[in-house]
Amino acid sequence: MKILTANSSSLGQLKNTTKPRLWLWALVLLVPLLVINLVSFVGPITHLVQLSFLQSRAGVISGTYSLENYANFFSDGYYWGLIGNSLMMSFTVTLITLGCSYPIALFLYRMSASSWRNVLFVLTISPLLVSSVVRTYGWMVLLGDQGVLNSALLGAGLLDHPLRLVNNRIGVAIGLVETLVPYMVLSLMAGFGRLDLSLEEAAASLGANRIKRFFRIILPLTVPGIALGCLLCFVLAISSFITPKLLGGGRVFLLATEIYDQAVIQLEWSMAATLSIIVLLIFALTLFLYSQFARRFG
Amino acid sequence: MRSSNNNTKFSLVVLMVVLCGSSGLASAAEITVMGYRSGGFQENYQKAVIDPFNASHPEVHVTFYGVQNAAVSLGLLRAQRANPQADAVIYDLSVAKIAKDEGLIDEIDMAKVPNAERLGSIGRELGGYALPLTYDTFTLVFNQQVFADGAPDSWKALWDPQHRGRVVVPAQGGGDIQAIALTLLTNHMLGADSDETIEPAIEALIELAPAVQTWEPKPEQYTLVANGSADISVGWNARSQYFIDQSEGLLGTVAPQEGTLTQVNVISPIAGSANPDATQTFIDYALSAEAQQRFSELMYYAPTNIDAVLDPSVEERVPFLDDTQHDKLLPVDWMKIAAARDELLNPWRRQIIPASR
Repeated sequence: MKILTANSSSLGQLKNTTKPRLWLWALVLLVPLLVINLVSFVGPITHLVQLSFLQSRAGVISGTYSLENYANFFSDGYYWGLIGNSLMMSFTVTLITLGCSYPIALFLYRMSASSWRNVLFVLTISPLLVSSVVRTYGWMVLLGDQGVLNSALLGAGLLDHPLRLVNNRIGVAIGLVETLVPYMVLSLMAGFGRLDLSLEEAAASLGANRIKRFFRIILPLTVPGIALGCLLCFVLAISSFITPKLLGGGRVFLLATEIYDQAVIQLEWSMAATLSIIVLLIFALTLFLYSQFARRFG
Repeated sequence: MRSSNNNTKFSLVVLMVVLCGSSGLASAAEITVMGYRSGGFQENYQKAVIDPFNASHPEVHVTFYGVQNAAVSLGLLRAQRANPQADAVIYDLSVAKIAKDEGLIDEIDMAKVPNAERLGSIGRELGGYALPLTYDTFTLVFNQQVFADGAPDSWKALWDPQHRGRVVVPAQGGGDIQAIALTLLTNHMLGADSDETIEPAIEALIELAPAVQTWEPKPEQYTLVANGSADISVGWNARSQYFIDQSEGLLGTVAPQEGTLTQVNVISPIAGSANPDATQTFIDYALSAEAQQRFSELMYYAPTNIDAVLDPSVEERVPFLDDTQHDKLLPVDWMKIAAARDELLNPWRRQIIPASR
């Protein structure tokens, strides 16, 4: 007993000395991550917030802090219009992407595991292997006034003058949908885990037709995938810069392009920083809404 | 043993060569000049100015660092304020004003840059902080096949309904220096004084907007016009001339009869440079008649050094040097423009471009 008592007490001591050591090791292991986060995220964001409060006159940044940029933003209808345009474009693009991707994802998910399934899956996500700049330039070639599509339609005598498919919102929407489809397909397939064929068979045996089965069984079970895909595509669409810049023809003003223009063309870094903070707040709000949705329906 | 001795000797020789080489390099002051990259600027500036300078000044070695545009230069100057990586910068005069106001550039010691006295009067508003390096003019850019019967001779050609949907107006980011230039020239064409109002120009440009194919040509407007994607545009003479040569004459450019205006590229020493003396030696060389002549003959900029004489075949392609065009140059106070940038560009973002949707 004595020995046992002695052993228990040494075990307790060992536990007591091991706990702080484990914590110490955990902290040591966390240090690289913390440093990377501080340098690459917290530091720049802090600088951005600081810059957004600095006054600027004709591009010249003064050292004076004020709320001027935020006041200008909230009092100017032009910036509200930008928010409206960006939200509308992102919502539209997300919905179209969902419509295009859902049947593909469902088809791929239901295919029996075979080499064909793998081939089709790789084909679906293969656009991700090519830079979005290259793909966007591809759309310019295809959809331009002298592009493949217009040339074919004009050549066939179906049109008198070319369709305006680039240098406007239509071009931006087409480019963004094409860019986002692989992300949506991947998200949908990741969220299709609850889909069970036996449930559909049970519904069918009880007399439910295809449409009823889709709306009563398949759609509710795939809501988590839809929500995840929509969140991802919405965030990517609202922050997209290259596609609107190349396919918008300077006509499509969105928040992301405005940040670039303010910083690089107008040289108003403070206003660009203010707009960046606004975009971050929109992201935060979107994530909050998603978490609420996921809690309720997930 | 012999082999070992040979190896030792070889190592010593290599070491001596390396040491001599590095001491030679160490004695030459290394400076970096930041300037434009695209449209042949970097390539031709290297050929016409940097290489001859490095050959004739062994005590200084210059490296050219190309950037996309003047705004990027300003961004780098701001980001590197505490530890500048370049020693001199070539950029637009209106951007130089911002750099001066933010204390990013130094004042040149005129005693060390004697060629400064031989410069023209245009673009000297910032004194020793930014000296004019090149003059350029705003021109109409057109497709030679579309205008086979003759080049357009008026800015009004942009409004010709025949070219509806095939007009390119570069107004990057909702309006840049080219948008400002077109505003001022349209106002001038309509007989209005831009010091008092720019409303006539705004109304005319709103009327033009639906005919515009793109406000942000990708690639540049010169390529779109040369390859037939557009009929007509506006741009800078120097770049147009470069693309005329590149497109083997498919592109044309003209300074219209109503007159044009001048854009000025300047050179400034960067505050905090580790080699201010070597930098000023280079700036003096860059402003010399021979360097200016060589660069102008490659890029069709008008030289700022009044002693530079260009080959007649080059001179006829530079409207700034044409007496008739020179007399009609619209005087532009770029300092005033820099201060009123928002007032000039806000109508582009809020009225003109939206009218084209």
